[in-house]
Amino acid sequence: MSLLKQLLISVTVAIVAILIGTLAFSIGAARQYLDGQLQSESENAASSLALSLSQPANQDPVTQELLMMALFDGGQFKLIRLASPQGETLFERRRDNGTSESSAAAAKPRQSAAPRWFVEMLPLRSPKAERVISDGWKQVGQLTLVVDDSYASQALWGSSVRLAGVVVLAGLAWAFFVVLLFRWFRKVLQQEISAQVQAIGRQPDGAESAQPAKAAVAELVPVLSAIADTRERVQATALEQMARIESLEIEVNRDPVTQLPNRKYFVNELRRALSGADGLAAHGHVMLFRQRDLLALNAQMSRASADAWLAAMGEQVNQVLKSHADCKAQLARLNGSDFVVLMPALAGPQAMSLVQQIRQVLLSMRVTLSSGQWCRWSFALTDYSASSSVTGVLARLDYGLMRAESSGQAEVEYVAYGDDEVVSDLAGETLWRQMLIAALEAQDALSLSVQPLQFKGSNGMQERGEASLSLRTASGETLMGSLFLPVAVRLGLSAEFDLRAVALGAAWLEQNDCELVIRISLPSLAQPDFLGRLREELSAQKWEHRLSLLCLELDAHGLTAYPDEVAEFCRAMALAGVGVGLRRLDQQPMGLTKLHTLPLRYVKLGSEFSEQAAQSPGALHLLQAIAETATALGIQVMVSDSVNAETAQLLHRQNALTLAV
Amino acid sequence: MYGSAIVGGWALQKGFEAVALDFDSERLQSTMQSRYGSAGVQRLGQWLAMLQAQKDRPLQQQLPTVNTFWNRAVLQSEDSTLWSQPDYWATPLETLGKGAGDCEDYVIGKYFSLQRLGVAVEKLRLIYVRARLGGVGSTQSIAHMVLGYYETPAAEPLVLDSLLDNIMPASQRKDLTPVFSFNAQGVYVAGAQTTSVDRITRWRDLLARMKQEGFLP
Repeated sequence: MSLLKQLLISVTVAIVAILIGTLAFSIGAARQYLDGQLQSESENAASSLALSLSQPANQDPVTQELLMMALFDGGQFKLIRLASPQGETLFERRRDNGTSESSAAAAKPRQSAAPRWFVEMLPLRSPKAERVISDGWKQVGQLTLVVDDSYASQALWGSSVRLAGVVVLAGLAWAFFVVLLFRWFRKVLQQEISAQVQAIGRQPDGAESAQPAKAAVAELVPVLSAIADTRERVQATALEQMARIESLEIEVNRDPVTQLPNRKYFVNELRRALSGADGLAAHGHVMLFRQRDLLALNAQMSRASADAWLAAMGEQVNQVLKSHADCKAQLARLNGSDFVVLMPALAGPQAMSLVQQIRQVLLSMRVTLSSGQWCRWSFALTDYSASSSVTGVLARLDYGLMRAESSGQAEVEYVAYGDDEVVSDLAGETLWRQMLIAALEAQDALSLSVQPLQFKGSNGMQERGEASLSLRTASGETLMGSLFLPVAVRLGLSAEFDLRAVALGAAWLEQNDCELVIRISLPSLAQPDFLGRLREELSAQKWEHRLSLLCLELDAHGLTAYPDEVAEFCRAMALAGVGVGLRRLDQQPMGLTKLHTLPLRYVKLGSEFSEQAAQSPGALHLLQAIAETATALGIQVMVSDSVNAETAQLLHRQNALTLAV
Repeated sequence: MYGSAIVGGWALQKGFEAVALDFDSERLQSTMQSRYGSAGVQRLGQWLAMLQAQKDRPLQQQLPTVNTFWNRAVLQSEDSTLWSQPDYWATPLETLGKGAGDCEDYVIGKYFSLQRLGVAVEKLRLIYVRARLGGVGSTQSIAHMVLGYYETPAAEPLVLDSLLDNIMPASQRKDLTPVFSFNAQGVYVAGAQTTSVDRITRWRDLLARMKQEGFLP
């Protein structure tokens, strides 16, 4: 119960008690007064009548009777009785309330009379006065006189009713006042206190922060000023806390070395981008790049300068991102060596130029390791749609990075989202499709870039070119095959590009006398007319003498994913005199069991695996098994990345070729 | 005859400040019929006819006519036999209904008759008297009530007595000794300012009963 309520209730109880007390005392006093008046009236009337009856002239009984009758008829008496000294009643007049005929009639004018319960509750003493009357010296009788008290009762009743009315009226007035007081007090509390207290929680803004409004009630002034003080203190504390929270947030979300957002921040941002909270369609790309030689760098430089180099690298990438401010790309550091760029709102091919620029910047900032090699970056790219999950996106990036690292090339490994995505990026795909078809139709949009590679073996050096398709867009940018071929696969256009690559490769062989490796996408093999068209292409007369220099490379994953198509392809190529190679066999060790069924020219292993073999007996055994099996089948083993000298020796002993730096 | 001359002189002032008694004669008749039957109704009719006839007559005719009417219409009786009470003030209707009454009932009948005829009530007083029975020298007396007509407050009253049809000035009624008097303006104790006749319980009872019967006093 509120304090005010308690106060008002106690005051109300006191007032009710006072009013009831006043009523009771007033009625009591009136009753006492009336009793006294009736008594004195009785005494006076009795004295007067006794005096009259005692006069010598009035000793005649008839005169006495007349005197008594006149008094009784003209006055208000209940009883006038004259008794002889012996007690015999000589004269009596008595007013009975229950007299026969008069009672009914008398009832009406007595309507205003006091109710019976009232008379019974507050009875008046029926004042009886007795006087002795004498005739000369002799006592002749006893006069008894009782005054009628009905008027007194009625007066008492009337005044009680009026007083009770006044009391009730006063009570009602008090109740009304209390209601008004309550409302007013609530209003005042609401206006003064609640508003002020609520203002504590709000941010101070110029006008309001000045001073509290003047209190309408004097009692509230100290309360209001206390509230105002508290508000100021609270606001100051709140500002401090907010600043602290902000710095904590920065600490929590930033990488301390590069000042780039950290993994937590990135994951949140990615989640937000996937939820489409920005209002844009949830489509975009994520690029992951890893400094593979961070340990070596840390060992070679001081840690501080390694950190400075990483920070500078981050700064440079951010510069690139700033030049594409419209795409809202964000760079973050996932962990020590892994960095990620989130590129939301960049549809399809648009993202690719940004990816290439980043790659260029990173490659240009490479430093030389103590071994004389450049420090290595590996890149992975994926795109996401509205149905992608954070873990799905991150898993694709990891997969891409793994592939990039195992291929040993500083190309961007693009892992496009697959069929498991429910929602595809229609707008992006439309753009891609238009661009890819335009490239296929144009004569000079596609070209073959051939990277000459030196392989060293126990028998000396061997040179070969590894071709990759590149595409010049209408805007003049050049996209590498690794960036657009995954999309071509998704759009079912890979066969066209593979055929075009083979055609371009054949043209290249016209001018160069070197083994040329062209990669063929596995999904192309599954296309029904691919093999026929390839045979047709290869059977062109002009290239016949060069076909032995051509080598088509498949991913070893095909051994499990497309076993029949791969087998058929290999047989067809063997017939055509074209070599077939398998790369990343170390990722598909099960493929080893199928090697004998396929006419292969070489198999490729990743450097990671090869280096592991130098340390791990299990990996060494596997490597030996692969090398022995391959050698027995006449298949050349190659390692597609530079390896350390120890591993190189080991590999050379197994008749494998390693990449010469 | 002397009284008649005096009445004639006073009659000139009749009607001044007069507040006439009003009543609903039909209701009176129905009340009478239900309580006392056709005999009562007949006496009531005679009374109403007398009042009608005396209307606008000079006072010196009205006073004896009213006195005689009541003296003849009502038989002298006692309250103890009529009403089984030692003292009962009957209304005019009750007195006419019974055809009998004691001295107070005569006085009440005459009082309201004269009031009906327009005589100012302050000129009429109900007087308690001691009436000597027998001739001069007799010691036997009774308590009695008569109606006095006072032309002025200080004047000698004319006495309307149930024992005599003749109206005489008070000085000629040697047999009557006045003891006390009052009227409708009420006197109980001289000098008591608020005492009205309404506060005289007996008078109030009477008026209340009359109102029930159809009088509008």
